[in-house]
Amino acid sequence: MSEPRSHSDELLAPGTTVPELDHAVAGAVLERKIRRGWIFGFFIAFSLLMLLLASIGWLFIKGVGIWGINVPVAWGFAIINFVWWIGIGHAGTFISAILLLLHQQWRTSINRFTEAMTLFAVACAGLFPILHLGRPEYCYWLTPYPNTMGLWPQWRSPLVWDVFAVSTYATVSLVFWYIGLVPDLGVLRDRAFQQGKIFRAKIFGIFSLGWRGSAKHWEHYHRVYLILGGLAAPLVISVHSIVGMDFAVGIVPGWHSTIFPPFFVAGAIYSGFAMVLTLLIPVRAIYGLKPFITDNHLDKAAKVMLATGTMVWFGYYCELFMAWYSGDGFERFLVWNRAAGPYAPAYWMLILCNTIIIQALWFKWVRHHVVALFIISIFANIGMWLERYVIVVVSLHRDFLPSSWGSYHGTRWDWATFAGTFGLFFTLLFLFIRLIPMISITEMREFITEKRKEDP
Amino acid sequence: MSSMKTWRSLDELAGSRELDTWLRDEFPAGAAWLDHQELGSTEIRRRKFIQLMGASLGLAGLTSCGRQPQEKIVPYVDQPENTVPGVPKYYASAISFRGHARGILVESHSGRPTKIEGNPDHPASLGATDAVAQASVLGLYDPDRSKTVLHHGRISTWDKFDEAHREILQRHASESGAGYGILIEPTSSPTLKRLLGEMLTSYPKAKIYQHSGVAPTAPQPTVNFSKPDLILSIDDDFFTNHPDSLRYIREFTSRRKSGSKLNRLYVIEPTPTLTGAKADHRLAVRPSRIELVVNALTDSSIQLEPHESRFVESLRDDLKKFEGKTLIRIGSHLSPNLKKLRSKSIQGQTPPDTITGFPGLDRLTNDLTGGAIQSLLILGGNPIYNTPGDIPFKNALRFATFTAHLASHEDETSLACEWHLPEAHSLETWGDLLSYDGSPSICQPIIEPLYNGRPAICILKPEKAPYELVRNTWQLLGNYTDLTFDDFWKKSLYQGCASPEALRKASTLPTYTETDESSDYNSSLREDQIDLVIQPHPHIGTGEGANNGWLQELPHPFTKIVWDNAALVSPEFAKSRKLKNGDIVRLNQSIEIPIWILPGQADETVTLHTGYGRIAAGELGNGVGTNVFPLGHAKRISSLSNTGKTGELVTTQHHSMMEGRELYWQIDRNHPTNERPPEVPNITLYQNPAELLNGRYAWAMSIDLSSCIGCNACVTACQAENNIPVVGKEEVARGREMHWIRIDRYFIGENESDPRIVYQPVTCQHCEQAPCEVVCPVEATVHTADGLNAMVYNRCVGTRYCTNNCPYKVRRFNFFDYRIKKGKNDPRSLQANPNVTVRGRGVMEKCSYCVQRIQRAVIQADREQRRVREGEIRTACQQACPSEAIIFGDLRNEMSAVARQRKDNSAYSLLGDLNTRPRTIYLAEQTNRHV
Repeated sequence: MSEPRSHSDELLAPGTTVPELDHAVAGAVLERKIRRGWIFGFFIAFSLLMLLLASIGWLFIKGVGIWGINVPVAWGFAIINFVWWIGIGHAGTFISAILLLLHQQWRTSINRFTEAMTLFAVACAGLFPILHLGRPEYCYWLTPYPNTMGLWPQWRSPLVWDVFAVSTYATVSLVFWYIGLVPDLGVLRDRAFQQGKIFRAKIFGIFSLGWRGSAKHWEHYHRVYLILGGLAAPLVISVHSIVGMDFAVGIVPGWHSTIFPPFFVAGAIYSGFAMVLTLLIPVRAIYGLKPFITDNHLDKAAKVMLATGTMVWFGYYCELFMAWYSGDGFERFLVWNRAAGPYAPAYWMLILCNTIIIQALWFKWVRHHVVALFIISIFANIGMWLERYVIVVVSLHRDFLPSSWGSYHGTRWDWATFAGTFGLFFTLLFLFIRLIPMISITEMREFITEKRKEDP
Repeated sequence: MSSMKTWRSLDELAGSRELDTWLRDEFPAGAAWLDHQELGSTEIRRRKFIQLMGASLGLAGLTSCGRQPQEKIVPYVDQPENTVPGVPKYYASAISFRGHARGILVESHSGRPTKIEGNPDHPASLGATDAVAQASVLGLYDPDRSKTVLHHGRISTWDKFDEAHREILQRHASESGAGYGILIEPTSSPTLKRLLGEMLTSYPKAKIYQHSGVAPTAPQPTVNFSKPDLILSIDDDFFTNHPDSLRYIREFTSRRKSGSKLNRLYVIEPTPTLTGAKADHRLAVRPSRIELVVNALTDSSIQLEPHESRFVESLRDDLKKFEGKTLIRIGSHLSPNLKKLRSKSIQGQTPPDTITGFPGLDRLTNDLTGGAIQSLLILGGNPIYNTPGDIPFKNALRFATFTAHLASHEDETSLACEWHLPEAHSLETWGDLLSYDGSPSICQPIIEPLYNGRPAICILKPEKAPYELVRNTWQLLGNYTDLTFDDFWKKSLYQGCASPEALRKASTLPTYTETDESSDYNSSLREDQIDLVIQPHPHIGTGEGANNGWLQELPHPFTKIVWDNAALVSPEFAKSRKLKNGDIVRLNQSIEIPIWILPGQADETVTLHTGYGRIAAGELGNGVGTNVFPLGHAKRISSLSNTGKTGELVTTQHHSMMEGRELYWQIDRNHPTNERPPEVPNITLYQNPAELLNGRYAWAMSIDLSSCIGCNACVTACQAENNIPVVGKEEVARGREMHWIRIDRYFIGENESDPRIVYQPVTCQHCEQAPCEVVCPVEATVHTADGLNAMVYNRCVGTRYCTNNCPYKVRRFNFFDYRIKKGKNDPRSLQANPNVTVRGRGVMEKCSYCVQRIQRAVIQADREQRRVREGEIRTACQQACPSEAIIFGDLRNEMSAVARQRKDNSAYSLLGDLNTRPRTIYLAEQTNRHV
């Protein structure tokens, strides 16, 4: 036999058994005591959620004037946060659907968690398009519904496409996630029943939809899962393409750019994987999931980050090049204004985060250095938020007529709403960790069994 | 006999009934059943409770079916004659500009004045107005107007005041009025002059004084401004500071239109004015140097700066060239030496003496202090606030034993007086005024006084109604031969003015002439000191407009500052003293005011505007800006120190350079270049784009940049017409002003200290391919077949994508609920134009080309089975514009002015290369610089 492969190259710690898996994953839901750390974290997240509710309440009482938006910068934090959150959501579906279709085994242990992350991020993102409306009570006017006036949405507007893109994405992600969950809920039901926890067994029983694990069930299950994977895969591309078109359809210099759809998709996956790293690194340590989510997983996620980050970097370069090549004075001014205007610090910070810092990921030791990865992932998250800030605010604040140039700064309510969505996100995440298996038990059982066969 | 029918005392009988009634009134019938002793045990109580609850729930529904009592209402069968509900009426009247008449037409909806237009028949209006006149209608509905007579601050009545005043007059009567004084604002009103004359006849020793923040305009020979080929203005802002400004603007700009023979304007001034901004050659000179520069015209030995001598040489050359065709205007505050130049100007007619000329406040102050005046009646004005600080009028007023002040607000002067008398607004009462050329106008009341106010004439003759007083004057002075008096009166009312000969001059009161009281003309140059210019604020004046939201939020023409005043200095001045915008400086140890750097300001000169820093103006005006009156008559600043503090000055335009973009085109007649506005090719993917806009009409606008002088009248006119809210300083600071039309101001030229200042009104361009329409997800902004970019407020959900995508940034958003709150009894809502929706929170809005006016005309034309005629529709901005810079009309009519101007070779579309195809086009500015 050749040299033993290093532990970190494995997708599974050597010698991991199914009972160990069940104990770690199902046990985290059924047996693990609620610890102080969880309560503390949940308390902070829940407080932030309350802050979100307060911010929304005040917003509905007073109007969007409590934010920093104005003319010319009529979009601000709400749109930035929307794009940012929905970008984060992309990693989950990318991992579970596209990697499923590509038969990437390393997705198995992280797809559940990242799909949950997707759902919660989409929930945060989905709030903003409604909150940012001047008259949110009429948000349903953006949907085609029969009405006495025979009015439909205006289909040329990308905002209408957005409604469909995001709602489809949210629905498919939810269904995909839930279908994947059904066999696991059956496992939990049985385990709870064995442990005499009848009430929990009943609850899991209801949600497992009568899953018995028969061959017929498995056959249907696999077919549905694959179909849904096929459905979800193009959505990963379409949603952020359409979000990109929200800008690209506009004539504002800095928005009006054909590169936006692919550029936005790459950015979304980049930021999504950054968030995956930010969350997985602490969670796998706390819940003893290192045997299943190995350093190799982190390494692969970091490679995806590096690849998509490079595409993002290429997008920046294209914008610079096109500004020069098109000879358009407004575009050229925009590029100059980004780099040297009043918001230059935001621009250079984003360049630092998204193009310079991630170059460290070329080195294997960095990709295997958990702390370094965590820090880089945080920088990537900040960088991507700043990128949207630069796209939205810097493009708008100085457009065609210098007489109308203005400036924009988020108010305390902007920040409170943004912080509040972290509350929503983490509240849901904390509940998820306690209530639902973080790793797909059935898929991992399969994976472990197969590994055994390959490598007895 | 049953015991039921017996009773022991009246009390018992009465008492029980009282109890019953009380029970019935306090609670609904049956409400007390649950407490009743008879119900006994708890079980019954529970069942009874459920029964009652069931019954009350069931019966609650019935109440909605109850019958309304029959109340007969009366239909509008006998409609008042000539009144069609929904159709406004227009009344001719006049409002005062520094004592002179400016003719107006007041639009009245169901008896409430909502809008002021110029009176085309009035010589001082010619159909135009200025911003202040437009805003005066809001002043009528000012919630802070005083509503009652006050005596020592306590509510009193007119009867009590009349009695007190009569007593005072009787007391002074024994000495034929000695010790009794009246302080008026300079006026041309024939009735007021007649009553003052009568007062002086009855009380020959009574004294009359006059005061206002700005000196009235003395009669000077005037000419038609369209005549001269060359105009030289030496610090005389005849576009702003003259009772006949509107006429001057009209005449001047008639020689600026495309195709006309251009005139040439030279201006020498210390601080930018509207006149200076329009000049072909402008020279910024500090006041104390003006005389030197002007003398250099004739004395070539005088050494000047290079840029000054270039100016003087061209001017000298042109004066020779246009001899006999030159008009020379010289500011009345300048030294008599300079005024000699007037002899070189073409001469016109001198208008009659119209304005009263009584001694001023300095004399009154002496008389009060010396005891010569003990009782003082102040009719209008606000002398406690707007007296220069070197006249100790406030202290002197304490010597008086009786003081009464007539004013629209309980202002600074009212607070210092024994009596405060509420003054009727000029739209509420009868009055009369003379225009600068002597044409008399009657001011008609359009509405009953809202708050029991009276005009000045009624203070002097309380026993008569203002109608009688004015009518008597006109009867007495009327010069009508071929008409009966009634016809003469009616005709004058209808037209809004009469010829200057229509009233005989009867007043023997002294009239105002240009006085050379002060010997300090600031003509001696002192290099070590800073020159000071104090001007009335173009909108707020000397404080009259301080509580008017429209005027406060109207951007200053040069600084674009709102809700504030500042010390204007030149860029070099700021650089050498290390000052930046907003730095608060202390001037002459008396006032502290923030700095604003204004290119075009003369070096070593500080300009201040009056009208701010009021303490008793009302809710809006109190504490806004800095009061500069404490500086007195100072012409120089002896000490300027940086306090280290900064104040927030809010502007509506932060950036004044065009960044090399081709937004504003200038064509110089004498320097022909190939630089013409580019023709924009019509690029479209449609086979036949004309079919997309196939309405019966094709509405369009053109804005002539040669004519626009940047006076802001259109902005306020639009605000009045379209119910545009005032948002306040903080909201403007956040970039949320709501004006549908704005005047962009740019500085052009290499030299920062001597730029050319240009104005470009920008409003919705009504693009045929509007970027806003494509991105609206709910079709709240759509195109009409007639080419209007329409905004459907009801449908708007407020995504604001339209404003992001509008390259002209003319869309305005209701970030908050800016409406006047209902239920607070705020009279300002009465001003609202009923034909325009008042927009609520979260809704986008913008210029509609005054669609309500378009529709009214189209409906009228359809009823008469004809097309809308040229000129039948005038947008609010167009109607107010004194220079006729804005033209609106139908492109389908090839002969319409708007269609012809589109073909002019100076016509261009703003940002036309975006292919938005705006319906609003601009005509490049034509200049006529010396070769």
